[in-house]
Amino acid sequence: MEIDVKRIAHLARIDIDPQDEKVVAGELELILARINKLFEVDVEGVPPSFTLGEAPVDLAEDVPHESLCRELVMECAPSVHNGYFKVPRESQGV
Amino acid sequence: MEIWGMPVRDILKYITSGEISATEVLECYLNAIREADPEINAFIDVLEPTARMDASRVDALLREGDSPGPLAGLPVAIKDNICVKGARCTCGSKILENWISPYDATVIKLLRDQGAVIVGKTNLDEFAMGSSTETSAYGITRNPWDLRRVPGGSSGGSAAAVAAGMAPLALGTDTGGSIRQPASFSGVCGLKPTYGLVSRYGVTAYASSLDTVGPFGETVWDCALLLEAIAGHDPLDATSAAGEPAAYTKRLEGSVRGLRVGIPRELLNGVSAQVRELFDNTLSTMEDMGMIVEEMSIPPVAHAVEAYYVIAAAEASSNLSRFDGVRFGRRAPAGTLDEMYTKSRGEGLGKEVVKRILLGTFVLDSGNKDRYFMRAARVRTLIKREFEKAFDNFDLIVSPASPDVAFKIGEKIEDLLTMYLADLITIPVNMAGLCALSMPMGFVDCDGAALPCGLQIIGKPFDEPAVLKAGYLLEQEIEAGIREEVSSMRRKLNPVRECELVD
Repeated sequence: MEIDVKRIAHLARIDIDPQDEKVVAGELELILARINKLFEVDVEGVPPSFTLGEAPVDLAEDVPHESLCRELVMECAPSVHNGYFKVPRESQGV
Repeated sequence: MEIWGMPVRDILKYITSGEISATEVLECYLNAIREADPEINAFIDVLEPTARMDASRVDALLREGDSPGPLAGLPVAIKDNICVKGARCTCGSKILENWISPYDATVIKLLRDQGAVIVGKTNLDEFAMGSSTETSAYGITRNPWDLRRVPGGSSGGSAAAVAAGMAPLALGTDTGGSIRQPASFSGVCGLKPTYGLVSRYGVTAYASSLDTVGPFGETVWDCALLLEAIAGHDPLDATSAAGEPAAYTKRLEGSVRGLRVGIPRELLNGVSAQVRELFDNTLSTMEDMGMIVEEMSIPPVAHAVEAYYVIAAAEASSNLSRFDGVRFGRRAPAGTLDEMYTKSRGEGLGKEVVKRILLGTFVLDSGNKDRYFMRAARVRTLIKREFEKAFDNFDLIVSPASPDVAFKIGEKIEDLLTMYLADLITIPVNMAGLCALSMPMGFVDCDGAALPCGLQIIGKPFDEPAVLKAGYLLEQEIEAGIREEVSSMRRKLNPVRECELVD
């Protein structure tokens, strides 16, 4: 199967040098060829496993509790304005 | 009294009795890091000032007659994908080059509460994606046994730090073998705990249904001690298992006579002749100890690598979407939001990480999800079921921890499939959520160097006591030769010892 690296990279929001697209596609296709061995396994009627625990996930009570220090967390951000994360506009000219 | 090279048990005994101080122990290991790490590059950051504060705190408590806890004054090295408050957490990536963690992971809090000294952050494959520690943005870590070779990965820095005597204990993470394979390549013990036994709060997620945090130590007892300190329920991790963990160090003695041990044929495919010979000798020792060893088969294991690369890549593509330049890490200059995401990620993430994110995005793409991801999740069910059946007939399952000894730097980095397939031995344990120990079983002569090789002992979920006990008792039988080799290797690495003697 041919992989459209440009499309996948756009979905993953990763800038890839157009010159590298072919190399990356080749590497992914090699891995995919191996992954295709999964089609040799008979999985008819077998349910999928997404997690390992038998018990249901232990959800926390919906009550307020102490969390990380807001100032410390914001200090880690590349750009902050009035206590909020600051990002560029969605698109230019809007 | 020579601190360096002293067993962890003795260091603990002498610190708590006041014969040596935690500060003296720390300085001794800091010296070892200064001497050996320029060649090995096991550490991304050595946390000297805060480690000295940790050690002084332990000494002060002891002077006042208080107990600092079961890890009193023991230096512990931490894989750099685990958050330590006030220290960088780079995950081996450029994208987090300057990110300083504002909080401690639960495992770090537990270590500090029990008197451990956090000595530094260790190198890893970028975001723990790799088997050689060659994909780190902070340079390659070299194997202390042969500097031309890799220490394994992704927890290669932690394994090399313990092997070279730069830290007596270390923490790593294991998603597909990242504790057990480097333990094997570096000649130390490493334990991948059962999924859910150790909290992952504050640990950078790679593949959330597979990730685990576990200990490295020189001996099985050391791993049991560190596991005891970090195991237990954590309300901050939704996948954390309920219930009290066992007192692992107290359940090591006894007998293994009559224990049924299975050897899956599928895990012996591709094992080198030299490793196979060592493994067969180890099986003979196990039989001499009274264990009943028998070959068996777990057929779906043959497809574990393929299913793993689909599931791990899919989960990674989702988990790593948080590295987008908004809340933390590197941000590339850009005119629009979309451009900022794509440039920040394109510039900040390395080749291997990008490849796995793209693979994950591909297998989750509309039209591919049923074809790849759902099929892999079904194969995973088959692997789990077959292990459950196997454990009806066997108490433990064993195999080599890696098909071969450490490979040379650069040898496999361009041959991805070979590198991926080498993980066949370790991956099934993560896919089924089991626990497994990797411990040295001997050495193989390779290009004039003695290279260590590990044994993998696999147990049922939460059966760490049985795995550790079998490993501990086996270690008593084979340890002497291994200790001699370790001492000789370390003396070559540390020709000058300035801090050996303490009155």
